[in-house]
Amino acid sequence: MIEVRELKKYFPVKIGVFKRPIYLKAVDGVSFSVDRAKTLALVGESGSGKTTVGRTVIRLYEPTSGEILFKGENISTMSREEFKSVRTKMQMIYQNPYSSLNPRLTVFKSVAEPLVEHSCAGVRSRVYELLDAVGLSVEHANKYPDELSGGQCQRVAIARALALQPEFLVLDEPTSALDVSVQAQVLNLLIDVQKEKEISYLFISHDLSVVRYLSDRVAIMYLGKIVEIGFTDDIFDDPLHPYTKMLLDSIPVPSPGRKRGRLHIPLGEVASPLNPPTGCKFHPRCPFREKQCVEEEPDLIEVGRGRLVRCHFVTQREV
Amino acid sequence: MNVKLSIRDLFVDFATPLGVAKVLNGVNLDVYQGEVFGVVGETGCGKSVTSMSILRVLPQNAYVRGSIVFEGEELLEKTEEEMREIRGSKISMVFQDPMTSLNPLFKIGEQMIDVVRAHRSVGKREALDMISSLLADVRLSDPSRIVSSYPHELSGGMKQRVMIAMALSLKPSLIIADEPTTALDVTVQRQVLDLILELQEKYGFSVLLITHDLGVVAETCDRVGIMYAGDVVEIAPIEKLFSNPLHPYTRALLSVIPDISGKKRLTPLGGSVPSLLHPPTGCRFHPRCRFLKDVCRQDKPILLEVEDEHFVSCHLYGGR
Amino acid sequence: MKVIDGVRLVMRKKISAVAFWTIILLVLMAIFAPLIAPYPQEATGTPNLKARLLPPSWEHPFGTDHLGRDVLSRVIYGARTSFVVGFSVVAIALLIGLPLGLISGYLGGKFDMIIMRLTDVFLAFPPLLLALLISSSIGSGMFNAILALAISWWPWYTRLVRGMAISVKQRPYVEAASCMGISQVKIVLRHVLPNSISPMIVQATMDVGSAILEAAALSFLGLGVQAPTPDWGLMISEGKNYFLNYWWYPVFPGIALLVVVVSFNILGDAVREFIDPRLRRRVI
Repeated sequence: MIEVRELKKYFPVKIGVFKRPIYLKAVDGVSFSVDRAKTLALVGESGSGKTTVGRTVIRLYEPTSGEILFKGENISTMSREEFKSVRTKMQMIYQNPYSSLNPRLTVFKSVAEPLVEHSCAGVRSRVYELLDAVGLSVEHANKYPDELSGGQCQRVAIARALALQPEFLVLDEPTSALDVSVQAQVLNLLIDVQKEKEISYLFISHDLSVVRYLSDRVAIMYLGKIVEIGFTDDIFDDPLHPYTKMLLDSIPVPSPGRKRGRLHIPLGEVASPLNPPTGCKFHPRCPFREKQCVEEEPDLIEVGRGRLVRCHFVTQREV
Repeated sequence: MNVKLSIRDLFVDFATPLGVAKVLNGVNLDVYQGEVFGVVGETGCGKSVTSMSILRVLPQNAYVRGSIVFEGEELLEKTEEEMREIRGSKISMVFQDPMTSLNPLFKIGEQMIDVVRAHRSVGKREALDMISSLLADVRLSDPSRIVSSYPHELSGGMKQRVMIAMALSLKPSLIIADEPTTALDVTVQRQVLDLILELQEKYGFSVLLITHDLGVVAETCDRVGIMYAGDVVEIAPIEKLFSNPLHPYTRALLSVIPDISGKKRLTPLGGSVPSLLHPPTGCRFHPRCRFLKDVCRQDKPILLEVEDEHFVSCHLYGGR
Repeated sequence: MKVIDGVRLVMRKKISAVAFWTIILLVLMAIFAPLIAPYPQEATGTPNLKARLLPPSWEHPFGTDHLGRDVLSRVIYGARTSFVVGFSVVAIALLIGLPLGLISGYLGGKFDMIIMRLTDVFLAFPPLLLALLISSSIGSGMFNAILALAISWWPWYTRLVRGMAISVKQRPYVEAASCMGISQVKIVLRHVLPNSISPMIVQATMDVGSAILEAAALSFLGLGVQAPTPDWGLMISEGKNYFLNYWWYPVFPGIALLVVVVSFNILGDAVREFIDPRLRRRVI
């Protein structure tokens, strides 16, 4: 469905009037694919570039280089005109439910807007259909966003995104701003919608437990690159990259049995993307660091069934 | 068990243009000496308001009644002068967002010295020494560099450590931490939580940890209080809460968290958090409760000790 | 604490109500001036030299001016000029400033730069100087006063709207709209515009009062409305010479000015309060 090859997005940052701008390499060579009706999760902390990837894939940002293929067609080089028709097949769900909706429009108007824009017939019934599909009723249609709860707003956003029958959805932390109990409702809704409409998801999150619940495959990102990618169960049961291990170990687990006998204590903090370390970007925080790691950046290498890891230590051990 | 803080029948109402919001509906809880007590709840449950009530920093339109006893003294009867002495020195607070808790115009050192000298008459030199040792305590290497930095020069994790150091500066006996790690990256969150626990063991203060994350609670707290819409619905030691949750809301919360170790279909809780302007009668959870009985609509259940140190506020377990 | 809070709330509402109705009353008074004013011909200029500078009495509640004209009638008619000028200035300034602000904020880049430099230029002109320039080149009078004021006023609105537009255009719902293939024009009109104008509405309300005041200043200096048109600023200007012995002449138009300006200010405050909590209706 979606294939991304060596995607790069650099942001120029001016550091002085007369100096040439330096580049913030938000996304630095990312490749992955998402199959029909499947979910790929992009996981990372701040500065990892995961949000930028999401935005660039649907061309809200123009890629600096690389290819994005949607159903075989290269959309990264299309003109804006050509892209318009494809654009409607790719939608996005945002983190903050309240700012996803125009506070001046009623729920009905918000959901109807894409339909009206594309001159669809039977707008009214279609809107009610969509609201019903996300678990909202006709009563909600005339309300304004500030009269709804966070969970309800997010459902409206989903209904609106589904209006044009998209085939690909980028979900940018869709449940992070919601309460735990509401989160479950929205997650289940997303799963049901995916099954029914066969939509592919790019699920961006920092919450690993939600990721495990929802996704088929996971890609862990660090400072603009993917450091590990594979099937969800494989990665969670047997993480290979030191950063993945550190992430998994850092999540507080809601079962008190597992106390503080930590194996992979996180060291340091995420480096700034403006001034990344040499060689392997993770080396300053890595307990397995060796000389090679400081000098040479590892490639993403396949080490198992659909599993790729970017780490000298791991790939050499496997070999 | 030496009780540090005791809250009894705390009611807080807010006068708003749309009516009176009954935010706290009779909160009861104790924090013991040297323990980490977690307060867990979702939006609107009143956990932050509870902490603000303790420090008496509620806005003008808040009306408080009840009792908050700290180290034997009734806080709600104290004058503003007396409260000011307590804030920062006996009870201090760590806030959620380190980005906005520090004044961007002043250096870190200045802000920390301010806090120290507000409560102790010490010279700048002495204050600086105290601060440096505190910064070392919170694992910030190179304290002299930190002291002369501005907040924007530090990362989120470092700023939060500074906040913790500030909270510690006068050796308080109670630290209230309001979602101290929510705004931080996962790995940094881990470091900060571990730090709080270390310091707690070293200095022996009590911690009132407010959060919405049951995982954080499981790994850091000794006892937990679950709040819903202004009520404390359950209090239990940490193992008991997870192994034997009693209140229907607690059970729902636990079953609704995605599990890191496997996939099970989540069964979400229906309905939504009630409006505090027109809260449900009787037990505020009754509209969403599977075990609803008539009495739940009429009478608000009382917090009762059902087994050792395990309290529930629910008609299923008495509550009358 | 309870009592004071309650009183404050009520007072606030009462005052805004008072201000609102005062303005409505004055506007009606201006519209129906010929019917209300006791001496309409005098108001528009016919002198009555036998009744010069009479103090307030039953026949002339506000007294008469140096040409024997009834001050009350002139004050009532003066409301016409004031309101016309006040509303016109704000309306024209909005007409120019709002679109420019939207373009500047939403499109950014070169447009932004050009428009911002333009506002800098116009902001550099003090309104009085501009009025002077205009009246010396194309003469004085009400229309030119309006022109002068509007030209110096629009940049404020541009800046206000631009600031809001910049923050609004980054909001997810605007992005979502472009994802759905909605044209830029529609996005600006339907999504950016309605959400950018609140501070401007508040400002504009208060500005009517300020515009009236500035216009009065211009007339006071002889740069705006000319005699014999009834205008509060002009009356104050003419009356200042008679202040010591015939206080009623400049004082009543002065009071009228005061009442109008204060009313618009209070109304502006009330509008701000009305707009704000409505957008954030959730409690806690």
